[in-house]
Amino acid sequence: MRSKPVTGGNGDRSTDAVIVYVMRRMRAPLITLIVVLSVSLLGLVLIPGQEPDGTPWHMSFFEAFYFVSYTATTIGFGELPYPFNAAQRLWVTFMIYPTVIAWLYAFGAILSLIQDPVFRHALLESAYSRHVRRIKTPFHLVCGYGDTGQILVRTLSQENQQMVVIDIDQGAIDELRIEELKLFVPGLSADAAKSAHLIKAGITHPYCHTVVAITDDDRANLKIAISSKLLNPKVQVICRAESKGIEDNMASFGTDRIINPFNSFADTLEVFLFSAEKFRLRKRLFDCYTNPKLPQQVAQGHWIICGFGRLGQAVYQRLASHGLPTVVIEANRPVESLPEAHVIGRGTEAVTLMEADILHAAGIVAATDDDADNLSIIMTARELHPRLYLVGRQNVRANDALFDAAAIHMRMQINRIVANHATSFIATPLFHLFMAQVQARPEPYVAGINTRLNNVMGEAAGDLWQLNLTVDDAPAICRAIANGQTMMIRHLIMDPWSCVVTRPAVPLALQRHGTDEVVLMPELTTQLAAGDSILLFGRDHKVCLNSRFSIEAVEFMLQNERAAMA
Amino acid sequence: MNFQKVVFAFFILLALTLNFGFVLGAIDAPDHHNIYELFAAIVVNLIATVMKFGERSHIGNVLLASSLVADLQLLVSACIWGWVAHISADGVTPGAMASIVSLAAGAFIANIVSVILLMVETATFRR
Repeated sequence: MRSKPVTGGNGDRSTDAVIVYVMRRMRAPLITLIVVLSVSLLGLVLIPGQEPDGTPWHMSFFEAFYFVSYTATTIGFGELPYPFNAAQRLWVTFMIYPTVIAWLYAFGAILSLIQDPVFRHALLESAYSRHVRRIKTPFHLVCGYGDTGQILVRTLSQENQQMVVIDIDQGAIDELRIEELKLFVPGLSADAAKSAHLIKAGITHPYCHTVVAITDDDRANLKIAISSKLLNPKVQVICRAESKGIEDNMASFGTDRIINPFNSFADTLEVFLFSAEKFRLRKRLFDCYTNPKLPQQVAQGHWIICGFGRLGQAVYQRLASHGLPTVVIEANRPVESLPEAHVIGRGTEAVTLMEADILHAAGIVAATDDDADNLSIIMTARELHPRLYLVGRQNVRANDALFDAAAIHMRMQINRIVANHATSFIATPLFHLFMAQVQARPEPYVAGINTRLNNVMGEAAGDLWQLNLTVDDAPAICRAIANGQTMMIRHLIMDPWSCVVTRPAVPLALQRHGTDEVVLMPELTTQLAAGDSILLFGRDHKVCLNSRFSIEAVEFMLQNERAAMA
Repeated sequence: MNFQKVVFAFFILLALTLNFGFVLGAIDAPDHHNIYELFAAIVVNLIATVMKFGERSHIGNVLLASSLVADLQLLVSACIWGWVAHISADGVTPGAMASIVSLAAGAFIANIVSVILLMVETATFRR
């Protein structure tokens, strides 16, 4: 995540330039070493010596090189092959100091050059480029590896999605390297807001499918989105935006998906308060708000919102639009920007809360951007009014344990919301079309979906998955369709080896090839065509998917069925 | 006058001339080929190679490559000399000498390429 400025700004220099620079700095130590060693070598060869029996003898180049090598490196085997005479010893006395010094100097200089952070960074960068160049499957470029990025990368690697990561902070990239992921995820430490770094990270790669800009800096996300759209218009861009202005700006040039965690949480709270069935469905399919304690009935009464920042305002708008009375507690903003029913204060003290009439309130939203304040508000409020419905905002992932212990009814975790939305945009894009349709339906219709899910699955948890009937994703099914066989949705969840058993799964939505229209809750007998996308929810989704890959399994299933009918 | 350029050209030329001096003579006559000249050729070649480290131009890269070829040829010829003189039973035979000199002759060609490239670079240099 963007938190620290990059060290030394070395990201701009190209890898080649750094290697050239390092080699140039190796010149002096290497030339010193060559000159010193060759002079001492020559001296040893030229100075006459004697064999033990007195016959004159000259050291050969081979013997001299051997002697100089073990002397310069301070190993010192002694006077070989014969004991030296006085003249030789005099020369060795002179040469021994410069050779040892030259050796240590060259050795040390080269070692420190190799360990130079700039050089190491250049090597890591070129290793990264090599990995990215070799990718032969569609991949996602994740910009920002903070708390959000970590959750996202871990979840997507479970789904076998290929990813690459870029983050401004070297520490974050080091963490990525330590992380044990199912797939190898290359990481580059550079500022993604600069287009040169985005290109290096692989934005123009033919297989780059999605760019996910989830740094904690709105302006950086905006810059990434606009660069991506300019450099590679085909790429899908998913962005995090925390303010309205940035969000509108992103939408203006066609950013595909914008995640505003505050709006998204306020929507969830709205659904929770005013349409219970939709909330049940949402919670079952997309459980990214941990701990919504259900089915606690929210009492009648007004709501208290502590902190009128981005979250506070979003929640206020939703509640006010339904005519629910609210009281806002805020200390730092100008009075004229606050709604009529407000209390000046921080909400962490009992006095302020009493002033907001907490004893008759239905619930409280602790929405400040300070985790300690939020916890304090929650604790004080519970003390004053134990049956209050508590909604708390958690800003930092490191406070997980504290918020767990506080037993809040509904918790807003920014990182988790952004990561889960990004994951579902990538892995199950149909889900969002499905939810948009469901949102427009009346409650009884949604209750029907919930009943259906309960009938098929019971209380068990399940997975959401999307199957695209393309040659890459479902080769066996596409082949069967191409051969004129009738494929229906029920074939997708049937055990191919026995025509009777079906997996516990419910088809939620079907999108026909080439249309934007989504069919809600399609029948199991709906006939499939190549290019369709189906959203399913159920258990054993890995088993279901695997069997769709096997041409034998699909053939067997269809033949069995024909035989049964005949 | 650029002193650095003088030193650079000096070593490249010296590598060529020393190499030529060693190769000159009957190919298999040990008397015609001085071991000190080979030693000097190796040392000067190594220095010339290191001086070409870190050149960014394309010609600089080819210069480095030709120098590395010359180093390789000369070092192998020196190793063969060491082998025949100290390890093999036959000593420095005319046959062994011929292979030593022919390797050095290969290095000579690489050094000629170096000098030609240097001349090309000089000729195309514009102020």
